[in-house]
Amino acid sequence: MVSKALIAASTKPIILSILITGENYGYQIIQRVKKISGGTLEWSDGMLYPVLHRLEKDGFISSQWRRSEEGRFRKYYSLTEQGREELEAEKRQWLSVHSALTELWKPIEVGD
Amino acid sequence: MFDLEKAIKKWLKTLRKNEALEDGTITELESHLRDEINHQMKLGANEEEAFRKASLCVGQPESIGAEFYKTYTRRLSGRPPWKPPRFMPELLWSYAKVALRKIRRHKGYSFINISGLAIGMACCFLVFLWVLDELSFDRFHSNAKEIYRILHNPRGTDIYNPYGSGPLGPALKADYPEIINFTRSFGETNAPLKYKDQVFNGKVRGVDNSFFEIFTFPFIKGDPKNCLSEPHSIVLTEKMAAKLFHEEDPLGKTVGFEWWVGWFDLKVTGVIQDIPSNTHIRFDYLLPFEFVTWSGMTIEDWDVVAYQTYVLLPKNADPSAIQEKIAGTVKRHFPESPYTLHLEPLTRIHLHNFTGGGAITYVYIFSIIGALILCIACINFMNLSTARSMERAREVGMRKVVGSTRAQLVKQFLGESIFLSLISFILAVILVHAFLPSVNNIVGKQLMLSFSGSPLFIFLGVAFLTGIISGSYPAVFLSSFRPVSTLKGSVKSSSQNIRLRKLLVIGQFVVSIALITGTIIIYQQLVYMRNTDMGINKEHVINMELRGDLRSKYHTIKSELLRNPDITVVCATNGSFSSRVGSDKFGWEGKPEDKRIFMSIHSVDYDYQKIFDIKMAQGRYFSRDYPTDRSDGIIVNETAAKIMGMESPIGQRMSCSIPFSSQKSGTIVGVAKDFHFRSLHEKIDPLVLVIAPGWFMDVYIRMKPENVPETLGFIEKTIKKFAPDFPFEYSFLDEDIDNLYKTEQRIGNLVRYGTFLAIFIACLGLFGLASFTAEKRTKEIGIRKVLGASISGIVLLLTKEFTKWVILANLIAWPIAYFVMSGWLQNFAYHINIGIWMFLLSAALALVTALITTSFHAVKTAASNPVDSLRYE
Repeated sequence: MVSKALIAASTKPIILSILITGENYGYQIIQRVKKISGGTLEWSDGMLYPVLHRLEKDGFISSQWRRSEEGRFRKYYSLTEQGREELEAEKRQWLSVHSALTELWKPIEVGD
Repeated sequence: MFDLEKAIKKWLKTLRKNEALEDGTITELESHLRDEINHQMKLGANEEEAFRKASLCVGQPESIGAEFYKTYTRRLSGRPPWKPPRFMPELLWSYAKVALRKIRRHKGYSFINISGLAIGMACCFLVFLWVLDELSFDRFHSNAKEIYRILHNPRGTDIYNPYGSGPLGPALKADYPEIINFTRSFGETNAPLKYKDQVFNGKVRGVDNSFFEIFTFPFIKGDPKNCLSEPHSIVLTEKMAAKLFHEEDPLGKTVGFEWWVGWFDLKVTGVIQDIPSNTHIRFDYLLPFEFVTWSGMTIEDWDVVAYQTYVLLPKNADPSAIQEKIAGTVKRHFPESPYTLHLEPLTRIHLHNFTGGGAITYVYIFSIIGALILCIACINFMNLSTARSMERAREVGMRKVVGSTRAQLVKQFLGESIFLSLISFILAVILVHAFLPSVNNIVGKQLMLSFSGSPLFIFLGVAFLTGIISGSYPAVFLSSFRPVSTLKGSVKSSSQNIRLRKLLVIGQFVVSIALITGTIIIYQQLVYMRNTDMGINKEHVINMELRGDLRSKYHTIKSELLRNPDITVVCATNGSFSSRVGSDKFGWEGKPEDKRIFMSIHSVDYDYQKIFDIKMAQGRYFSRDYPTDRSDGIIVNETAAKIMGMESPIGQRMSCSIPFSSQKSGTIVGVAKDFHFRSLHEKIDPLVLVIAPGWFMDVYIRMKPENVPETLGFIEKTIKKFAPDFPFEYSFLDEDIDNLYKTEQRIGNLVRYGTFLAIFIACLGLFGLASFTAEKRTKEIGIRKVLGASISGIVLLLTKEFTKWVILANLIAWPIAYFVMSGWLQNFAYHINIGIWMFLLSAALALVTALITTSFHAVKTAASNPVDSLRYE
C-alpha cells in the first residue's frame, strides 16, 4: 500500500526511466511497473494514459503510431533529449531524498 | 451468449460519450483492454470474466476523462478549457444575440421596460442617498457613541426638553465618576463680529473648553486644548474667518463682538474647519460659555434653565444604568425643581427631535416611498414580459425541441432581464447624476454620488436584485411552455396569469392613488397653515434685531421712523416665532403650592397690538392713558387664565420674575383672545404680556404697500444714522412665518414628485399592457367594425376592463391613505379635516390618467381599417 501522493510523485521518473531503455507502448509499461515493484505499486491502468499525454505535451516523450502483425494499432512512446535531461534532474532529486532517509534509518548503535 | 466483440463495442461507445477522450486515446485504451483480456484468458479466465476484469483494470471513463481535462487546462476546477465556467450558460453568445435582437425589434417595449426600471431605480437611489445622509448626522465625531445630551422631564408630563441650568454640567462631573467630561452649550443665536471696518452677523455658540475634547471639529489654526479657557477668546470657522480677515492670519488678532449691552474685544485663539452639513450643532464662531453673563444672564443659578448640557460617558458603558444614577441630580441640588434627567444619545438627536416628529418619521416615509416606486417598476417589468410571452412561445418551443433543458431556458430569460436591468442601472446613474443638483435644492442638502465606496456597490446589487426578481416570474412562466402547443400556435394565456396581471396593475394603481391622496392632503394642510388667521396682520412687515445702540436709542429711532408717512407702525418686543421665552416662576392668588407652570413671556410696547392684532376677550390692552401699566400692568391670554383657574382675572395680582426688568408683580388689566404666536405645530401656550423695555430684542415695522423699496432705503438710512456699526439685516414677517413650515413644504414637494413618478411608471405599464391587449384583439375589432360598431363604442369596449381595475384600486387605496394621513396630521396641533372630496379627486385623477393611457391604443385600433386587421393572419 503505497500512498497516493507517493504514487503520483513517482509516476514521472518511473515512466521516463522505463523509456530510457527503448520505446514502449502503454500496456507494456504497466506490466513492467507491476513486475519491477513486485506488485506494491498498483497503478490503475487507465490513469497511465493521461500522464503519458501530459509528458508528451511537456515535450519529454514523443509518440508514434505503429501497426502490429495482428493488425492492432499501438502508440509507441520514446524518450526525447529533453526527457533525458528531465530524468537526470528527477534522479538527482530522488537520490538526495533517498540518501537522507537512508542515513536516518541506519540501525542505531547500541553503546554501553 | 456472451459476445466479446459486442461487449467491447459497447464499452467503446461509453468511452466515446466522454468529451475528454480523443479518438487516439480511445484506440489506445481499446488496445490496452484487448491486451489485458488476452492476458487474463491466458491465466485461465473465460471471455466474460476476462472482459470484466480487464474493464475494471482500465477504470471508469469519467475518471480517465477528468484526468485528461486536468492536462488540458490550467483551471483549478479541472474543467476542460473549451467549456465556459459553470455559472455561465452554455449558449451565452447565442443568448446575447437573441437578447439584442429582441431589443432592437421591439424598441417600444424595450424602451418602456428600461425607462420604467431606470426611473424606479433612480428614485430608489436618491432616496437611499438622502436616508444615508440623515442617518449619518453627528456620526463623524470620534466619540460619537459615547456622547449624550441631558434631557429634562418635568414631573407628571411627557415632555423631554434639553434646556437645563448652568451648574448642572459641573455637578454631574463632580458627583459621578462615570461622567468623564461635560460641556455646556448656549446658542446658536445671531450676533455681529467686527474687524477693522467690516461687520458681519454670524451665529454664535457659547461652549466650555471641553467642547473640543468631546466633539470632533478639526482645527486649522490654534490649539484646541486651551482656546476657550480665557474669557475673552473666540474661535472662528473657516468661512467666518475668511469673511473678516480675507487673506490675513486671524490668530492672535482682536475682533469686536456685540452682545446686547455693548461691544467686547475678543482675541482669536483658533480657526476650525467648516462644519459639515450633517450635524445638529451649528455655529459660525464659538465663545467661552461664560460670555452669556456679559449681558446679565446667570449661569450659577439652578433655577434658570436655558442651556444645553452634553456629557461624555466611558466606552461600553451602560447608559440606562447611568441614567438611573443621575436622574435625581437636579432635585438633589435644588429640591424645588420638577425635573428628572434623561440621557439622549448624540446620534439620535437629529432624528428624534425632542419636540417629537423628528426626521426619523420622514426617513421611514421616504424609504417606503422609494421602495414602493421601485416595486411598481418591477411589477411593470414582470407584467410586460409575461404579456408579451406569446411572441416568444415559438422560440421556447424550438429551443426545447433541439434539446434545451428548462434550466437553460430559465437561465436565458433571467440573463435577459439582468441584462436589461443593468442597462437601466446605467441609465439610472445618469439620471441621478443629472437630477442631484435639483434634488439638493429641494431638500437642502449636499448629497453626492461618489464612484467609490459602498453606495455605488449597493446600487449595483439593487440593480442585480431587481433584474432577478423582475425576471423570475417571466422566466419560470416562459420556460414552462410545451413545445407541441407552442409550435402549433395554440398557446393561450391561462386564466391564472391573467388574474395575476390584473392584480399587479391594481397594485400599482393602489400605490399611485394613495400617493395622490397623500399629496392632496399635504398640500391642503400647507395652504391651511399659511392662510390661517394667526391673529396677526402680517402684510408688509419687516423684523429687525435691536442691538446695542439701537436698543438704547429705540424711542428716538421710533419717532424718526414714524415721521415717514409710508411707515405706519413701529413696535418692539422680545418674542420671535421660534423662541420659547418664558418662566415658570409665577405666583397668583389661589395657586396650588407645588404647581409650577411654564408660561411664555413677551415684553411688548403700546403698539404691539397694532401689528399683532390682538383682540381682547376681557379688559383692555396697555395704554398710555394708564401710567401704572408701564410698571404694574400684566395681560394674560385666555389659555393662561384658564390654566390659572381664574374666572375673572381683571384686577387680580400676579407675582413674576421678568428678566431685564425690575418688575416683580403686577395687576392683570386685560385678557387677550388666544392668538398664534408660534407655529401651528404647537398648541397655544399660556402667555403673559408685560412692558419691559430693557428686554426689547426685536422691532417690527409696518410699511405701506406702495414704495416699499424707497421705504426700506429710508429705514436703512435712519438706522445707520444711529447705529453705524451694525450690518443692516432684516426679514419680512410673512417669510418668517412661511419658514416655520419649511420642512413641510419640502416634504410636500418631494411627495408631489414621488407621486408624479409613481403615476408615470404605472401609466407606462398600463400603456404597454393596453397596447398588447389591443393588438391581440385586432381581429375582433375588425369584425365589430364590419358589423357596424362605432369608434366610440369600440374605445369604450377596450377601456372598460382597465377602468374597472382602477376603480377597484381606488377602493383599496382609500382606507390606507386615510390611515396614514390622519397619523401624519397628528403632528400638528392645528390641522385640517380629511374630506371625502380629496378621495374623490384622487380617484378622478387616476381614472382620467388611466383612460388617456388606454384610449390611445384603443383609438388607434378602433380607427384602423377593418380590411387590414382582418387580413392579419
